[in-house]
Amino acid sequence: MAAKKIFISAGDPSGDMHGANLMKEILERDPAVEFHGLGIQKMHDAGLHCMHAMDDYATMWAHIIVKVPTLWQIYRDCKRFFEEERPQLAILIDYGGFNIYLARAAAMRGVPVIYYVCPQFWAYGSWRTKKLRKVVKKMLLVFPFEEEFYTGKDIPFKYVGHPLFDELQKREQDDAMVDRLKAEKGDCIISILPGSRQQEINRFLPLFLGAAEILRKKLPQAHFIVSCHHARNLDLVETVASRFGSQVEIVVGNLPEVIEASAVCLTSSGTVTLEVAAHLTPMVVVYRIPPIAYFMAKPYIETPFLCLVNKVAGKHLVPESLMYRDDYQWIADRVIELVQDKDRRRHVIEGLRRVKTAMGGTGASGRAAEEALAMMNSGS
Amino acid sequence: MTPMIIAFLIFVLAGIAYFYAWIRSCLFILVVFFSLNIWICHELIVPGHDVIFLIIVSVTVLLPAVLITLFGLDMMYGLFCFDMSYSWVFVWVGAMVLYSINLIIIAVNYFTVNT
Repeated sequence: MAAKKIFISAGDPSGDMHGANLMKEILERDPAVEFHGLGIQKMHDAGLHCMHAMDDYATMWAHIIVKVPTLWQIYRDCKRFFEEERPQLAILIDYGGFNIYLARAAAMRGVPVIYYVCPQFWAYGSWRTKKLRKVVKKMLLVFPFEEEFYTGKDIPFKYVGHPLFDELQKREQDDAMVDRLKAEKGDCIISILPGSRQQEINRFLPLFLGAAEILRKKLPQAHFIVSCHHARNLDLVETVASRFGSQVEIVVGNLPEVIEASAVCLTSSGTVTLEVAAHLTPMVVVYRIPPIAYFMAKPYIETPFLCLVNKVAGKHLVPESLMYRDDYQWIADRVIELVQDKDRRRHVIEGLRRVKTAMGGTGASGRAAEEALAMMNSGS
Repeated sequence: MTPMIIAFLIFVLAGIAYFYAWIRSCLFILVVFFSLNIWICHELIVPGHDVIFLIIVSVTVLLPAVLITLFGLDMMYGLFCFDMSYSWVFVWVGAMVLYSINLIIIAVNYFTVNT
């Protein structure tokens, strides 16, 4: 019997994680499936026949321009794969800037396309859904509010929940480390989560460390921990931290433990805010963009919420700011508020609990796997 | 200099309209801005350097106009995979370059006459 082939594509670390979980769920239900496509380490470990490793393509803004020749080559290889191998299904995970090209290439060759963890069109440029309508057979939505957004857009969709919660359930938290951090640093740990990409570290870490300098004077009991997602970014994090002369502890990995031990997290917007919410830790969310980019993007921003947690809550639950200049004072003031104002803190934690409930808990990868297999077996 | 000052004020107005997402008003104001600057450029360069005038207008006006039209069509029909909202970058850069060229020619003319 010929193998059932699924083409799957993810281009950044979180997509890689969700892709790997989805692949495992599909293989549990149908071990005859073969996966080919684009991914990073976790998808490779889960059994992906990797056509190209996507380690270096999680870039933002104009930085993508230098990657265009290589991405073009990858696109051509994928097109050839669709033509020669005729996979029964293409599953595209997030990474909208590139995956939308693959969606079109697959659809033009008669390969049904499922889009999982859809690009955030509800936040910026909703007209782009028209591009997907022509090429995507089904969208698998991960946020409850996306159902309302896609209703009436003439794209079949199914809300499956966010796969991050599956991942969080699987991880075993090192409680000893949490206790050690609290014993060493006290109850006022402010953790700084600048992101996993080098561009994010360069953009957000100086901003957060600048705020830490102010906080050090106003909250003498505070201790600062910088979470470094990957060991390969450690040099960069140390270099930036040394520029500020800040006394911060840098922790490589162990993100859940750092979040759990913290009184407040300073973070950029993104999926990490959901992870912080899952730990019921109050946070201050900042996104820093150059003034020109802010000006260019402003008319097409379609949501009053920058942070996913606030979007799910439907209100400004945690402080957030889209900054085009380094406003250290604003960040410091919000942190002080969350540390010292007990009522505000309690209100935020209660809100985060409601957000966690609204996100629907675990099982998203399994539900997505069932949808994918149903589509593949129906032959549509 | 008066037309240049008026053009600058129109440019600022267009920027404000864009920022507050009054896109139709912004487009109308930009049409006025570009028309005024094309006229100024025409008065400064033609006759004698018609080709240079055509090149300037093609790069700073026609190219952005074509791109922004494509963006409009993309918004209506979802034609391209590429995010055409970047067309606005060409519009603003085109506007600033055209204005700067006019300003430089005026300055050069002024200093040539006075020295």
